[in-house]
Amino acid sequence: MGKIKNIIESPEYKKVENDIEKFVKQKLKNYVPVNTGKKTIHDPVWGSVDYLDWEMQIVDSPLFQRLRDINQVGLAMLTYPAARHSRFEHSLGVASAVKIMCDKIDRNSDNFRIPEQSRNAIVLAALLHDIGHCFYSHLSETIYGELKDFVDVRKKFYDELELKPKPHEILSFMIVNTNSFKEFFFNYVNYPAKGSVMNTLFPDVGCMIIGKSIKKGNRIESFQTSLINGPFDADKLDYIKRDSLTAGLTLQYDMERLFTKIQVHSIPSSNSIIENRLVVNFNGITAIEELTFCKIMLFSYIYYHQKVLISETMIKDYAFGLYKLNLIQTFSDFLRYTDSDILKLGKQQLGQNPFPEFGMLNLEELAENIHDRKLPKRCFEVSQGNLVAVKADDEDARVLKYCSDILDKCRDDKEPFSPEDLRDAMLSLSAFLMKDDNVKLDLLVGDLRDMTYTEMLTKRKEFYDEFVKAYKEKEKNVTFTPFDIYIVFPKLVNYGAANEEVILGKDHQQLMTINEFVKLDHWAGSFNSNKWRGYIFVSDKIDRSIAFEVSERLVLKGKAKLRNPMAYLKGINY
Amino acid sequence: MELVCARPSISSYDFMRYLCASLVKRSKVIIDLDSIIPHIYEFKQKNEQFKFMFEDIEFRTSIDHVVSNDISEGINALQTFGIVGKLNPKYEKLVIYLTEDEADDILGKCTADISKVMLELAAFF
Repeated sequence: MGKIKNIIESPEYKKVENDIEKFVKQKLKNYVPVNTGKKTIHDPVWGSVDYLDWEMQIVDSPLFQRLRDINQVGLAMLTYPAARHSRFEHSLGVASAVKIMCDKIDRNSDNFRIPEQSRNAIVLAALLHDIGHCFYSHLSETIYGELKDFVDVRKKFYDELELKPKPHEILSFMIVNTNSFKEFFFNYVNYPAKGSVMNTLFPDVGCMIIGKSIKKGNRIESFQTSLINGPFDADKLDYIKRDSLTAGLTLQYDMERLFTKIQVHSIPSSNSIIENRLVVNFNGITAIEELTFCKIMLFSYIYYHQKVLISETMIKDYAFGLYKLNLIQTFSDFLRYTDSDILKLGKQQLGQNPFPEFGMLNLEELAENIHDRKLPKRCFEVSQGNLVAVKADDEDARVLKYCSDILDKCRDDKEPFSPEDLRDAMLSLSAFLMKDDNVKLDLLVGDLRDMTYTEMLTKRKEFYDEFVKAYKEKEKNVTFTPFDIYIVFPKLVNYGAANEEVILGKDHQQLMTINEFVKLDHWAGSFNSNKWRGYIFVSDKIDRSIAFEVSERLVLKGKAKLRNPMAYLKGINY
Repeated sequence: MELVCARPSISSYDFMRYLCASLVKRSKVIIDLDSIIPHIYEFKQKNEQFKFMFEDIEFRTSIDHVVSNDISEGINALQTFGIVGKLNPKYEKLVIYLTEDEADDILGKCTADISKVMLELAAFF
């Protein structure tokens, strides 16, 4: 609790706390919840679910109702038209899932029952876990997550807790710990025994949301956090089902099996601290595998679909443009806009240019293009699998010298090599020699990955200058700006905690990692290494054949060429 | 309004890249996969002054175990981008495919201080 207090009282947090406070106060102004009693809500994923009176008082609040206007999967609906579900039903779904999980834990665990007070806190955290999302969900996180004020707050969380919560988790934490929210809750919501938890409830809820384990006396109640933010948490259980359902992808995991195999296992340590950890009986490992596989498929086919990526990149231009023109002033301002009102903000541009050094960025036109699905097209695509090395004449000689140098080191190293080490070294040499087409993608595209927005602008300008040269060589007129060129090199998929000890062995004592059973991390990594793609997109103002030629030269730097690009790039003369 | 974009001084991916390059400089191209996270965590605990280098790396510690999704994902990313491979079928070893020249290029892109620290960390392995 001391560390949470340090974060809340830090200057970085205090600097932005007022804005969050004003937002929450404005949202809850004039809202006095009525007691509607228990309600049943029908949901395509979880069926008919009962919500208690206090839960409905939260759900009916304008702060929660706001989530109806935030698309769960951002702009994926431009590619999967039915994927229009919102954070509202997802949050209800997570609360449903967590209730089921709590019931199952009580049934499955040896000598452990979740206290009523803890269960209520877990359900509350489930309802509020996404309260800090802004327009288009994770997309807006990638925007305000780069702003310096936000990065300073996030660093404070890291310094105190050694945790890296996601941006929306930090905003959710901040919202639930505002005075306005706490006053609303403790004055009006019929939460059971709220008087006894006034000082601890929202720091605990905040901890669950950001992934910090809760310590109570000599117990670490990590299971509570794991139910909300863990390797097989209620959040995943809901969004995997929900997102695949609305997108039309048939992704299944054995939910029932998972529910029958989860439990809480108490782990004692030498200094009398006991950890109550959420684990899965080893018989449930197949369900974990299925869950991971489904998540990878979701990323591959929905979140990282090339059209979804480009529409999100356009929104980045739009939102950073708004920020530059002071139409959005702080990262907390992002909370004020949901999907239906953010695109209207561009009308206030009034001819101003947010980035004059890079050419005109017309925000209203950009918003219209996004709204009307007038999206740029791919002119270049790169992955490890579609590259062929362009070898220098002396390449083979250099490879042999490399191998020979390693063998020399084996001989000359001061520490003796075991026969096993030598065998491994020979295996790696064989693998290296067999890789005729070996070209390290990292050495080609390292400078195009993980760019901040300002770095991206500079890189686009470099591409623009080369495009203009190519146009002039072909005596064509230039009618485009750097904002007609989009460099999209997405992050890699996050698999979850394959190395956490959450599998309970047959003896009901020993804990193992998921990887020890099924090498989850490794096959998922291999799968992903074949699926990752980096793209260059251009608007219809640019000739895509010229764009392809220039992009290939700039990205591959003469060291590689693409294997059969016409298989996936349409309309380009190659 | 001035747009100032910020991020951790070293991303988790770059951290692992620099580490792989440093391991190559120390002639260590085959590493036990299971030893990577504990070694890095131990180094971090013993060298508080270098905490800034771990800003983008989260460690989750329980009573008897330390894990880091960022390091695991960094390794997977290195595999996606061709810098490392994992030996089948047990995935016990990590193989680093960088040549000395490529390792020098990578380390040349970070400051001398960071390069020095990375080489110290590589010595832990």
